Amino acid sequence: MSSRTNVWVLSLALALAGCDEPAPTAEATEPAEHAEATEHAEHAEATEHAGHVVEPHEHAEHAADPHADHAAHDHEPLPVLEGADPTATLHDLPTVFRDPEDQEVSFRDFRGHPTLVAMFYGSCTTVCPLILHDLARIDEAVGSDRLRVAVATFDPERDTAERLRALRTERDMDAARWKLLRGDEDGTRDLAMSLGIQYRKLPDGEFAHSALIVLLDGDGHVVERHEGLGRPLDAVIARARTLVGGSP
Amino acid sequence: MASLVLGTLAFAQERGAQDWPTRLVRIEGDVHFPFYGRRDASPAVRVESFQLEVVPVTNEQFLAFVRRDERWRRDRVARLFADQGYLSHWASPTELGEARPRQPVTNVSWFAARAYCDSIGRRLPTEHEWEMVAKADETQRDASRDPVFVQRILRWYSRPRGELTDVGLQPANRHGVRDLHGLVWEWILDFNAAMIAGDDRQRDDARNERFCGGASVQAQDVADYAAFMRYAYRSSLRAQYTVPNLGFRCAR
Repeated sequence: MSSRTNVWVLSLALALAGCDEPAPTAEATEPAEHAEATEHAEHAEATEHAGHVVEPHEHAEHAADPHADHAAHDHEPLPVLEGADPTATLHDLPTVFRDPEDQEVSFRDFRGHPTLVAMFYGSCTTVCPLILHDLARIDEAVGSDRLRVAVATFDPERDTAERLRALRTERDMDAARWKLLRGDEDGTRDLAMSLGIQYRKLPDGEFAHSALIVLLDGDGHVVERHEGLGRPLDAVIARARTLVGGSP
Repeated sequence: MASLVLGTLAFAQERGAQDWPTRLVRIEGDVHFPFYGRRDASPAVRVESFQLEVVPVTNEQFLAFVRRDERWRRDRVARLFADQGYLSHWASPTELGEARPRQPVTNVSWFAARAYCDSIGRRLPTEHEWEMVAKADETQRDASRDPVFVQRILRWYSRPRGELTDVGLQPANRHGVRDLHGLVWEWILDFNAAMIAGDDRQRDDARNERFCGGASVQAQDVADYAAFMRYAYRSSLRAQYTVPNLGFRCAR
C-alpha cells in the first residue's frame, strides 16, 4: 500500500471514528523501568554514574537513569556522559577555536601529539581550578615536550583572549604546549558533545558542567577518560607516559 | 453522499499533508516553567517567538540531504559524529529500501540532525522551546497537569516498539504541531544538560541542583511524569548515538 493511500485511509478512519488517539507505533522503555527510575530518584545515593559501557542501540533501554550522585557536595561536578566509540577521532572535529594570541586552532593541529583535553571557564571558583590543577599535575608527572594540553572555555564571552593570557601567566602554563581555547557558541557545544561533557549556562552567569579530563593519542582517539575531582591520576599519567615514549 | 464528503475531506487533508515535512509554524513567545524548576522560586524562563516544523524530518528528506552532502552518508560519516547504527535501517547508503519515505527518519545522531537543520538554514529546537510546545494538547497551551494528556503520553512511552507510521497522522496540537508525542523521541539542541537546573536563585537550592543530578527530585511537577521521562531519556544519550526510535525536527 502506498504512503498516499495510507494517508487517505487513515484520514478516512479518523474522520469516521472521530478518533484522536495516536497510533501505537513507537518503541519505548518498559513500564517497570519507569517505576525503577522513580525509586532511584527518590532514594538516590552516591552512584558511579559514568563509566559503564552502553552498546549502540541499547541506550533507549537505559533511558531512565537519573540517579546521579545525589549525595554530592558543593564542589561536585555534573556527571559526564558515556564514552564515545574508541575509533572516533577528535581530529575530525572541524571546529576552529582561537588561542589567547587570537590564532586559529583546531584539534587537527594536535596531530602527532598526545593531548590532554578539558573544558573550564575562567571565573569558576570551585570545579575549574581543580581541573586545571589536575592537568598541571599530570603534565608535570609526564614531563615531556611532546605532550599538549588543550583547555577550552565554556564562557568565551567573558574569557577574552586577554583574560586567558593572564590566566596562563598566573598559572605558569607553558604557552608552547598549553592551548587555552575559545570557540563560538556552536563550537563550544560541539566540543562538549564530542567529549560527553554536560553543561548549561545558569542565570547568574555561572556554568554547571561535568569535570572531565580526556587523554588523546597522537591520532586523536580517546585513550583515557578521567572523570571527577580529587581522584588518583595514576592511570592517566601512566597512559600518557606510554604515549609520549612511543613513536615520535 | 456522506462518504463522498468524507472522501473529499480526507483528500484535502492528504493534499495538505504533502508539504508538512517542510512547513514551519510560528510559536508565540511565552513564559515557560521548566520541569526541573520550582514554581515558588521564580524558575520561569522566557521563550522567545520562534518557528517549529510541523512534523519530524522524514526518511526522504534526510535521504535528499545525504545525497547533497556525502559526508553524512552512513559509509562515509566520521565515527566522531555517528555510531555504527547510523541510518542502518536503510537498504544502502543512498537507498531507503523498505524504510518508507514519509516515516520519520531515525537512527540519526545529534550531530547528523544538527547538520541537516544547518543545511536548510534551520537549527534544532532548544529544550525549553520543545518542551513548551510539547506541553500543549489539541486545545490547551499547557496540558502538562492534565491527567488525561499525561496518561496518553505515558501509554505511548510504555508501549513496545512497533513499526513507525508516517509523519503527520496524529492531530495537531494547539500550536498546529504534530507528532511531538506518540511517534518518535526527538533530539534537541541542548540535550547534554538534561538533568540539571539553574533557574532557582536560592543559593543552597541552586547549588544543590547545579551539582546534583538529583534535580529531578525537586521537579516542578511531580505529576508530569512524562516530562520526567524525557529528561531522564535525554540524560542517557550521547551526541554520537543513534537509536531506532529517536528522530528530530528543525526550528528557526
